[in-house]
Amino acid sequence: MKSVWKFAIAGFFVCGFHAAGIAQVEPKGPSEIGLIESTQAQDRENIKGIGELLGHFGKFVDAASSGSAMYSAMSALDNNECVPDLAASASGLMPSGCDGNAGCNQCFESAVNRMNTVRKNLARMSCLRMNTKRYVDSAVAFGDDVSGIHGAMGLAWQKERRGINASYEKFKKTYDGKYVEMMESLDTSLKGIDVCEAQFGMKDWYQKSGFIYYELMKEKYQRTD
Amino acid sequence: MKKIALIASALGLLLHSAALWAQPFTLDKKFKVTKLVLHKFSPPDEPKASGRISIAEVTQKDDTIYYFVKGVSIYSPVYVGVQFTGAKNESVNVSLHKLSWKKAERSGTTDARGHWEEKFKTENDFGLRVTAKSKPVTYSLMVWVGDSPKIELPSVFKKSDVKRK
Repeated sequence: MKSVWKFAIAGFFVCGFHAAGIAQVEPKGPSEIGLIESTQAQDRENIKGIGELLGHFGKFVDAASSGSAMYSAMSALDNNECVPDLAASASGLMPSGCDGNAGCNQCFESAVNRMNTVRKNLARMSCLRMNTKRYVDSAVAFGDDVSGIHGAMGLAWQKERRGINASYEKFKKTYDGKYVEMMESLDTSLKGIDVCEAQFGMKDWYQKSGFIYYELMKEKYQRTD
Repeated sequence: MKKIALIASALGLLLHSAALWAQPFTLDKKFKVTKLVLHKFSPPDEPKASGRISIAEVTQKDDTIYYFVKGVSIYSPVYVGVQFTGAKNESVNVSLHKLSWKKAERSGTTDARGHWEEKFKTENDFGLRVTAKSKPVTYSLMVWVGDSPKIELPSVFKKSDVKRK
């Protein structure tokens, strides 16, 4: 619980808004936030709601052994939402001659880090594409459904529909551009690994293994729609 | 620097998708939706809690209020909490939405202590709906989006028997 109050010492922001009379929010300034760390019961009472909320949040944070454990324990909000698949299939594994000694590891580190960053970005991009397509399909279906009810609404929807489709086409082009960038970066990282393999492990590693992995990734993340 | 450039490049795509996906929850104009703004949050003594946060104290005067949050990474943990501060025998219903207000992905009611929370991961945006049986009601609302943790990727290497020549 103690850490909960310390969160407040670090300082957080309270957002305020007033939405057309349906809600009213009283923004909290630094002095009120300071009350959260106060030991005065009366002061705490004044910020009762936020204090309790922070208490629950503090328990949630304390329960996780690490940020990555916290993240791993969570499931996607939407069961149909694409979550990046970072698993490495057995058939996609590349042989490496690096025996784990310090010189070898040091040589590999930079290239492997770069490759892993590309893997994460490609997986996220791919999900972004699938989720965006799902959203576009859902939005278009919703609009088509609603616009049939009223003629005038139908005309307005046709314009909006064209806008959504045009934006999606633009998104696809952007995806293709980013895909090329990522594949180039992956190639660079694999060639970096090849240099290390030549020094510490296998000769002609890129031709024998790296290139095959590159081709697998190229096919996996290429847009097909 | 290369890593930063790569991440920036991926974010470029996200920004493009954000233009398209700016706010799906406003497609149906009959809903008045309030954006919850996330602010940087980095308590020095608790790195696990670093990220962005939005806290609001709300007095709800209507049956239902709709909120949305945008700019979330699928690689970030998300925590949403509601603390009802009204009478003990009352409560508010809370639901989380992804593509439309018609379908709730998660939902619940504040418990006997007035609390409700959910944790999940998602990409870009999500909606939050709070429904009150009696009005006006007061509650605190908190959305926390954690920094992306260091995710250890499984290795794509296997040990080779081939010796260097």
